[in-house]
Amino acid sequence: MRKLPILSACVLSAGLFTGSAAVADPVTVPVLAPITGFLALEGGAQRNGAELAADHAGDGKIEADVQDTTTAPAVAVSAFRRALRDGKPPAVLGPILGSQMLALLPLADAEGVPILTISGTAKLTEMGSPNIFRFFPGDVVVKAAHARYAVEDIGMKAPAIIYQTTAYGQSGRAELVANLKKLGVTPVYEEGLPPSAKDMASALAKARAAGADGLLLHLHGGPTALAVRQAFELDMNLPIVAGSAMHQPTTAALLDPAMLKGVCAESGSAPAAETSGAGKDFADAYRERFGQEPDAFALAEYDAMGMLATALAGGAKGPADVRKAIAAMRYPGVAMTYRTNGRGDMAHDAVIVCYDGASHRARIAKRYQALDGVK
Amino acid sequence: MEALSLQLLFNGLALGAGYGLLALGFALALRSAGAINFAHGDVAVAAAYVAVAGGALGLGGPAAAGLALAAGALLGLSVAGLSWAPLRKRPIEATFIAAIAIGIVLQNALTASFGGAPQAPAQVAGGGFNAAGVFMTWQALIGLGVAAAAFITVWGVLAHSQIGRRMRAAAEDPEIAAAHGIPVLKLAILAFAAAGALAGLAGVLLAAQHYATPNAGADYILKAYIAATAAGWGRILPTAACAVAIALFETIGAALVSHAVAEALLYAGFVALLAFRPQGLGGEAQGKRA
Repeated sequence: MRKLPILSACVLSAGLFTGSAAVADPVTVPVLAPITGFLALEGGAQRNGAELAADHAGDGKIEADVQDTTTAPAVAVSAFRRALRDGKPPAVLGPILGSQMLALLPLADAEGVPILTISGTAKLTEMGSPNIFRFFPGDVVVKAAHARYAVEDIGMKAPAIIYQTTAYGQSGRAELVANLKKLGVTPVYEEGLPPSAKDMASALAKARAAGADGLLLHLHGGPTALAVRQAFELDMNLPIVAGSAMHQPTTAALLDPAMLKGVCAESGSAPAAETSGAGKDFADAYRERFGQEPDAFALAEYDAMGMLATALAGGAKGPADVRKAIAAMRYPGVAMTYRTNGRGDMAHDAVIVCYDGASHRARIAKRYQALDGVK
Repeated sequence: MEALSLQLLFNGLALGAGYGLLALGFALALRSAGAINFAHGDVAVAAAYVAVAGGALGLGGPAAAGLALAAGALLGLSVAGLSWAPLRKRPIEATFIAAIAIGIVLQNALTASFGGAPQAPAQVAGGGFNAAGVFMTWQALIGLGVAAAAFITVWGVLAHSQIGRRMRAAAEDPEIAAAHGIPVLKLAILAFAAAGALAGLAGVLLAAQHYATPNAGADYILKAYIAATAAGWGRILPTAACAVAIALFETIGAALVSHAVAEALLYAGFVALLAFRPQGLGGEAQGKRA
């Protein structure tokens, strides 16, 4: 069984640390994450992934300095400034929340500090910054998998799309429609739901009345569970391919297993569904350390910290070295192999997971590689 | 389509049971203590999480719901003791801010204790049945029954009991009531506890059907506030009725137009009401407004 890459890299390169820093303080890496507020689930996963990666770096050579950014951009800016108060760190692990990352990126550019993120906000890597590195596949990647699985594997010809009216939802919906179009499919019904929507019955019924032969969901965790449950209660009998929220074990836990029969979801990765190899090793270590099931966000943050640790172990000293190393490196992480597309998008693969209706555990149904053409 | 209409009506009423209980408690504290308890939605959510914790410890749905009711009452008392009683003679904004602060503390405590993932408490009764094309869950039916019983009980107590008459007297004119020996402060605190218990019931009903997240209270308090304003400040049962109407509007309006448009229409209607009839549909029971 393959060992976790971060562990292998750090053990192999331990001499690089010990040779020059046997008595030195550990390298402190600021980890800015929304630990409280409406993104606390994702922020908690981000924190856990970073802390586990720091542990695996071994012998206390890296210390994750976690700071709560809540969900306000101003709080993230304060946390970033605090992180740089005692000198520039080699890099900062930025928050998952796109609006916070948009506020931080100009500061990172002004300071020349690389910022590693798992935010999916497309604009981040379209601003021409040399300091942004994104370790979670964006909508361009995961929505290609979403559309292709629905059309090519399930055979949907007339899907309905139900999405969230937030920036997250609209961005995903646009990519989903664009990818369906490439496959020659036009949705027969679309509806945007505000996050406060408590009842999905009308949207589901309208989708059925429009002649939909499948449902494509792009909703947050709670609304995804509600839509799946109500589709079951309304006896819709339509295949469902949901967004990444459905791959999260916490979302599946809200539903009876029978309601999950035939439900699939896209994601950047699905560590809780891995049954062998580095993915399973990561999931086991995560469960042991935190007593929870890991999700794709935790794994992406783990890999981001792992790539940073490898850059540091390879001799990178400060922010400029780290930026150069990450931009040039091809890093075999746990979820996938990361390499930049020239704009800082590091993740190019996706998976589809499906539930069998007998348990809450998903299985990986399909893996897609280089969906945006970056080999 | 007829079955769909009935399904939407049922779903709207089930949602309205939760909103109605929530608004009933909000209006009770408002009428009895003159308090606008902005932590009321967070109390409902916190009580729902107590039910989640009870379920994790092995309690069944009914026992967990009872625990949520008790937790709601206790939290209501805490809100009264921390944000209302010590500040009630200060400018009213002080009690608003204190209640908002308590709400934020509750949200963060829930996030720290349970994480940010959506949670669902154990159902009082699982499953459901199909009648004439309408799927009805036992949980929703029990929620409707509980809400109806709560509305009748609150109406009965306020209208026909000695304690209810004293509460109304204390709310109309606290100084005169106190001069007649009515324990105004004790009655107000009792109203907070009852309001918290109703919030607890609402929280567990809403979370069982629509899941709970630590920040869900903000949406709940908004609905209760709109219902209280639309009904007429301090009118208890009309406030609960307006909350049920909001739930029906959300559900059926979404079918007629879309969720996003229905939500926009709800708030547009509220703004129009404020512009043309700021005292609410039924007029203000106390003749004063924050």
